[in-house]
Amino acid sequence: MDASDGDLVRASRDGRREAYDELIRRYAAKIGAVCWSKLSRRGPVEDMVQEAFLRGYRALASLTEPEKFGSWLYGIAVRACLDWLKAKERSQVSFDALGPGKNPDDLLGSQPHPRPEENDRQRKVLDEVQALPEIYRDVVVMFYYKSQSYVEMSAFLGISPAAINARLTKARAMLRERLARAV
Amino acid sequence: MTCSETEEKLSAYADGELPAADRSAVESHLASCGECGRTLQALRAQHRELDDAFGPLREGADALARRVIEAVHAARPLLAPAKGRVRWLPMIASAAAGFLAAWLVFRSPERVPDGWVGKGGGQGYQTAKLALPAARLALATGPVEIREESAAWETCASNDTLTVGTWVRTPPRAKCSFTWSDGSEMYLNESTEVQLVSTRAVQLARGEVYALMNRQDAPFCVDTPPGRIEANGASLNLQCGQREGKWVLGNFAVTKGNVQIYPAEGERLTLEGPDMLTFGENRFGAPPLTGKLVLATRWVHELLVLKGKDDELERRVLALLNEAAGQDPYESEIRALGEHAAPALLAALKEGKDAARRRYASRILADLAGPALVPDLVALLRDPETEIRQSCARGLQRVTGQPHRADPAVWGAWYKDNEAVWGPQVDVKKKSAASK
Repeated sequence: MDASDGDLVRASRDGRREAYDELIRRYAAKIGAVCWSKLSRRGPVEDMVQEAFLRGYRALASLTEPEKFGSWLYGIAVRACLDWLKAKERSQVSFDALGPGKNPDDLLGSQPHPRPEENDRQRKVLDEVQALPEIYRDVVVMFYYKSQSYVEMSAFLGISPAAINARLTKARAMLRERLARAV
Repeated sequence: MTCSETEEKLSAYADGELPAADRSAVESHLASCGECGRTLQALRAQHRELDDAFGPLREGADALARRVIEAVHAARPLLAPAKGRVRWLPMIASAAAGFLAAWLVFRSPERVPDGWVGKGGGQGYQTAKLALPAARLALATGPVEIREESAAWETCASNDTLTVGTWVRTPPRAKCSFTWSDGSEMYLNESTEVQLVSTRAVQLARGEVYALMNRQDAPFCVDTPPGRIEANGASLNLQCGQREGKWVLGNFAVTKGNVQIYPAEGERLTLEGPDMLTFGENRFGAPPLTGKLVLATRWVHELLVLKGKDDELERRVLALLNEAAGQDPYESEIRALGEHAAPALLAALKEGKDAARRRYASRILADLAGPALVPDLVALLRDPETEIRQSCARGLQRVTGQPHRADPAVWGAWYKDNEAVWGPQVDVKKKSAASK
């Protein structure tokens, strides 16, 4: 039987590096989904996933309920993304640096997220997902970025499976309507 | 089951998430309702489309996990989570046994001593994968240089955003401050060299830093050759360099919060602020006077003054005032701040309870107050304490050039006639012209 998150957290605290590696394997895609949802596709999603796991590693000692590693890390990832967004907001770039063809994001040191191969329709679908209100966007991204059950998502996001169902239903209806308009 | 009840459950049905009882109810409704059947088909088509759109991201998830594992391994020497309990006795015993020879801590002069050699840029952390903004150059009293990975040193412009991995150094006679992406602040004394290792970690290769760390999920870390210091929501000052061939830490002062120390060799220690390690005393515990801490870190005052109105500066003046009681070096330090100390002195006068301390603040304020404080000084002429009234009158005479004694009625009438010049938010140039 697989070790529980709590077992892995305790083993990591005891200095067993392979335990934290396993936690990364378990949660990388979920944290990827969180960061993708918070930062949009142009944000440094992979960098923030790393940042969340680095912060999590250093704060392991303060995790009082090791079994709740997932939802705890979710909070850390959200805050890391907000920090990045705030830092980006505070960063100022002179107008001179913004010549033709320059992207402000490039000047701010953020790496554009490597874009996987997408066709136009897929890009349109992802754009519309990105445009959803945050609470709906989060569940759609979690569900499709990392295929998982409502119960798993509920433990991670800290909301009930019924709420997951309601939000997914609403999100899909909104997407259907928006994508129908786009055709 | 009605159409609208079915519609609520259709999304979960398509995802295979419906309990058995609900599932059969939905299925029997679907068998007789074409409209709901079409909605289900549309849902399934949409599901396939979303699934395809997210497919590449999903497929990249394993590779993402591998890269994150590599990044965490690379940073691990710095990131080891705290282990075990704090042990005080071995720390004190080992201090007695010469432990502090490696952790030599000494009273600091204001400047980083000449001849200190840091390990410099040669031994930085490998952080190339994270191009995250870590900090922004906020203030500098001279040119500050930065270097990314193996590039050459170049001058950093004010407000430049520095990414994780960047090295920063100050030359002799220049100090600077950074605002971190989480809002923490770090001041660099002259002849200092650091690397921004992550958004919550810095390597101090040589020189002196004063860090005001925000509280976050993970502690803030300052790594040095003799050991690593971690704190969350604390403020600390630290010098690092080589003396007589040994790596040493100096002027280690914690002005707020608790600090964990992980020596390169030996047990973990805790320093609870306000406290400082002072060479020759070899003791922890009994907190020193906070004014003494302020003096130990007085090199940051130049930057705080540049920053303008600042709570940290006000707290520092009040700490000095609390212990000064007319004595040097505390009073000299307050006076050295000039007009910048005035807001804190005024606060002590207005809100202070201790009569002797208020009198003392008023004496210094009489010498330091600037034109902006004229309305406050006039109001304070009605203070019940004679000495405070006299001090305020002296300050008013000095600033305005008027000869009036400590008579609130006379000064009140004068102020009424001259409020346009001396009142709040008036052009300072007009005031100085009027006093001539």
